[in-house]
Amino acid sequence: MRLAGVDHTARPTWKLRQTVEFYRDILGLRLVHSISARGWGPATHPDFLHFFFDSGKGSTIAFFYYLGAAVPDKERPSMRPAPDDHVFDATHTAWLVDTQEELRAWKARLEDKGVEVSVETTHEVIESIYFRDPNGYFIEITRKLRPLNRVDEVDAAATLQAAIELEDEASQAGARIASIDAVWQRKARLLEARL
Amino acid sequence: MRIRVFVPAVPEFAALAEAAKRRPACRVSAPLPEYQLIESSEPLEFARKELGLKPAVWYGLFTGGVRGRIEVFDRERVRILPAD
Repeated sequence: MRLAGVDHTARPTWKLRQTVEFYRDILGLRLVHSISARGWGPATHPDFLHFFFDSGKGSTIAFFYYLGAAVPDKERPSMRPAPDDHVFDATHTAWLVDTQEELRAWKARLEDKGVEVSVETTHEVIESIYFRDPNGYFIEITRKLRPLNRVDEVDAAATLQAAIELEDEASQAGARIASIDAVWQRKARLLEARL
Repeated sequence: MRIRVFVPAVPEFAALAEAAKRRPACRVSAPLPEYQLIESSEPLEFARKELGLKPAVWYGLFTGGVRGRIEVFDRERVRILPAD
């Protein structure tokens, strides 16, 4: 069995107008579907809107707007588009474009409309820009620098094996590993055993 | 104990193996299909500029695995010593 790609990802919003204006008008994504319903299931579930913007190849980015629901205390949109809050920002969406020209065109479009956009960041296999939506959600647009291959897969398995072994050992002593150097050292030992 | 650095055989880390080939103290081989192996019995030092790496890749320079003690690893320079 294999999955065929992303249908949608979803998150809550407490900024209805700003969210629609950002995704529909600033990013230019079509609002392609909306559910408006009485709360159902758990008795505490409020009435809600659930709406979807087209993000390409049949995928959408979706929001829940809960009517009358309490607004969380912490405001995030004023933060710069850098992962200063790494735990919150770890959950993010990365959209794909095909070329560097398109990536730069998105950066220019967003900046023209007053959105702060990060510099282009070159990672190992992708190049990305980052920005925040009105809710403070971290959004990434990226292009692939090369396809993933067998080396990536073998290497990923070895990295995770090394890290899991170390965390299991540490947890028996009530500890956790805190430095990546230990993972690199263990991984070298695992690979040496294959020589 | 010699330093050993496993370099994944992917384009973004090729510059590391190439730089090691220019170090007389280094031996670079390809003992596994997925990795090049840098070996050295002397301390090893690389500069980010020499490798032409952006920070996001530089800070994962030893993701392939390393045997040795990383004495310095800042934004511009890395130095590894043979393991104790």
